[in-house]
Amino acid sequence: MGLRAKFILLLILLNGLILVFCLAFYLNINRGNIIRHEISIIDAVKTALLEEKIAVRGMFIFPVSSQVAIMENAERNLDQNIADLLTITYLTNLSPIIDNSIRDIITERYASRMAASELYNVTDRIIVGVGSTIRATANLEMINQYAIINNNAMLRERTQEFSDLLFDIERNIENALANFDLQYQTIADERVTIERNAIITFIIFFLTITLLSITAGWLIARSIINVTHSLDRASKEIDVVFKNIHEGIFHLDESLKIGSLCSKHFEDLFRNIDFKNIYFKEFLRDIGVSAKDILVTDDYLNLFFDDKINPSLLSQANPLDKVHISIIGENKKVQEKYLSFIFSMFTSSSNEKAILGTVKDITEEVLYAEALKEEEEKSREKMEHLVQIMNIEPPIMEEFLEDSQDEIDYINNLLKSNRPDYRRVVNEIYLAIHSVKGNAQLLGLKNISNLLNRIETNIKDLLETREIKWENVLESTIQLGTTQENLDDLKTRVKELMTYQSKFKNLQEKTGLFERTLNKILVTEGIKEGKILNLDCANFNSKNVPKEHRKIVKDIFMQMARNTIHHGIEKPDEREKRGKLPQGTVHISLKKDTAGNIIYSFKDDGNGIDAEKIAKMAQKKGLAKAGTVMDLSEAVKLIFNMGFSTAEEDSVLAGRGIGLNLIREKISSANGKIKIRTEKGKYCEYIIFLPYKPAE
Amino acid sequence: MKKEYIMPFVEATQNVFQDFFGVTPELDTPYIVKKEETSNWDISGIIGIAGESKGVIVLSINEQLVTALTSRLVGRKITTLDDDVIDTIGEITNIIAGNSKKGFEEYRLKISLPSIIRGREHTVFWPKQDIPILSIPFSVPEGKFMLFVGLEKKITGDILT
Repeated sequence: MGLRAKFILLLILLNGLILVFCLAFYLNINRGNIIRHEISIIDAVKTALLEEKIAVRGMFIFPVSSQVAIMENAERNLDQNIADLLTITYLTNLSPIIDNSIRDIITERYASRMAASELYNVTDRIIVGVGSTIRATANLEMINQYAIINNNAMLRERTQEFSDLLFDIERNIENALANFDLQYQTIADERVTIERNAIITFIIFFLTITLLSITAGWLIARSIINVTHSLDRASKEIDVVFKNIHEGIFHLDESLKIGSLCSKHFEDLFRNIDFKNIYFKEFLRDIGVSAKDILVTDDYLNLFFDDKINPSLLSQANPLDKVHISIIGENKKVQEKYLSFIFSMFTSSSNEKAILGTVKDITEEVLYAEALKEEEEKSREKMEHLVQIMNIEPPIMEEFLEDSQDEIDYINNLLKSNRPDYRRVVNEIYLAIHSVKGNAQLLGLKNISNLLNRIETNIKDLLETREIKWENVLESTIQLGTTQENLDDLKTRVKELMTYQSKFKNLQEKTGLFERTLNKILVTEGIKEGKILNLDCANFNSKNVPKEHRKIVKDIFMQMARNTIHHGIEKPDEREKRGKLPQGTVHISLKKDTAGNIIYSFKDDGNGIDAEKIAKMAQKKGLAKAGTVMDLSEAVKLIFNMGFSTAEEDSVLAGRGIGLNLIREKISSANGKIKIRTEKGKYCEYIIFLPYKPAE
Repeated sequence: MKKEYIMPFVEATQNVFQDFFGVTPELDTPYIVKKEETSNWDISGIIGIAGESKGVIVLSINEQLVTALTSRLVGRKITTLDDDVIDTIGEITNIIAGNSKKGFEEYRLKISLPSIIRGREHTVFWPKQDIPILSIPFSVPEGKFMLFVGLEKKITGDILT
């Protein structure tokens, strides 16, 4: 702006100079004109004088009209003239008239500044004077002739005198003419000088002005070029920076609109979004930032225009530090990206406040960080896994793995047989995963049981949907695959561990393993529920469980243990109120009957089955009408149904309402039977009959 | 392994069979393949997968079915695994791979060029570590064929989330 002002000032100055020059030039020309005017007057007077001289000499070389007029006049007035001539007074008075005329002319010449009309007056007077002279000359001639004729000496003398006077006048006129010439020469000289001076002044002036203009122009041009050059260079540099910087740069005005200037990277990043001159919040909405983040960002950006806020505090509160977006990229594909925006305040040269924003695509960084976190989690998990595995005696672990594998194989065979009932298939997968999960939970394999719990939830949700499609079966099968995958993983680790452990101690006998596991579960899980439990297995020897019963018996007893811990045994204070020992006891036993069955029994001295409680829960869950009264057998039927549980909320251990249903499934699949004996507030006994035919 | 990764292959397979042989294969229930299991396939098309997950997709068919299908396609009786059969399976595998690509755009998965294995009664052996192999049986009137899908587990997808 300063430059522009200087330039304008210079131009005004230049114009002023030109104006002054023009004025001077005009004045000079005017002066010349006046002189020229004077000269023309002088010329006219000179002509008049010359004519007068000619007239005086009596040479009638006058314009014809004048001659004619004079001749006519002379003829007409002859008599009169003769009479006049007789008057000497008239004759004597003639001289001063002519004298005065000429004197007047001379005087007026010197008085100068004669207007054209005045000139005519003068000329007229000259003509009058000349007319008088002519008349005088003619009259003089006539008088002379008259004197000669009349031989009048006096008159001749007077005529002579008068003739002399005329001669004098003539001479005077000649002198005046000479004087005029001199004057004319002087004036002409003066005019030439003035004109020359004017031209010289003009040239000098012109040259000066031209030189000044050129110099000024050159200086201005040079400074403009310099400025343009530096601006050009700066803009090129900015251009290069803006084109090559691997960071999106943009700016927001006070109304939080995106300005038109932005880096190429920014344009590339949002190629398919029309971001120019729209509000930043609209832009954020277009790139799929959440509404909440947009609101926060808008508030945040407005803080920049608040002078009271410390800028360093603002940078810490940036809500778009890491923001997940989805934009339409190449080929109209939706791209998921992580961006990092940074904002800072700047004041433009026109003193307007604006926000400079930079944006960086941090997708790679975020993904790397995620991958790293994943890796860390993975190794942390592996460590946890190892610790969990190490806490379990290898034989128990082996048994768990074997059992779990049995479950999966069972399902897999079911799948392979291509049963068309998808719901049944998915249900089987559910039960299998539930069983594996339960065992993993009891063994303290948290990672696996948590994973399986999630899978179980997924499948449970699936079972609640009306129609089960092939896709859902695929999904469940994939989840079974995931279970298998995790078991395989566990197997590998156990194998690794076993190699180490076998060096230090002999492989433990499997004897009593089942009883010990069950005892451990009762004790440790009981403590978690605030209950004291112990196991009486005096009438149970796992050696006597046939191999083909081993898994099923274990599954059933484990499930029953869970039920007992959760529902059966009361808390110690409650037990004392009922006059029982604070610790609850579970009795297990096994015996053969005569029909070749093996009878397994699982008995606790807890609550027993409370038909009322079950009826209430059934009503609450909408499984029975309000006010329904149930007898024990109805209640038992209900608790063996899928989906029923008296627990208020699901937990990993129990409460999903499938435990007893699972037991029933297993028993019926083994062609067995189950009986329940119970007394409210005293005990509950499950008696299981499983057919067994010993090998011959 | 996610359902979303497998469905594009299943759908592509059904579409290709419909287009080539005029028959939409029925889907049987999928199951898990034991890695040590042997089988007796005669021709297999293999597509590798990389990216967010790693793995392999294999389309396996036996001689009797593949010759029957190819005969239908070329319009003459084919009895052996000749070049026409190889070309047909190559083309089918290629199209399955190509069509599935569309389904994968939103997941960060890339698939390799397919390759064909011919060998009477061959078994495809699977990577030993970490990958459960899913077997998806398809039925057409002339017989059965199998789509095997093996995808590496994604920790975030399975255990942590």
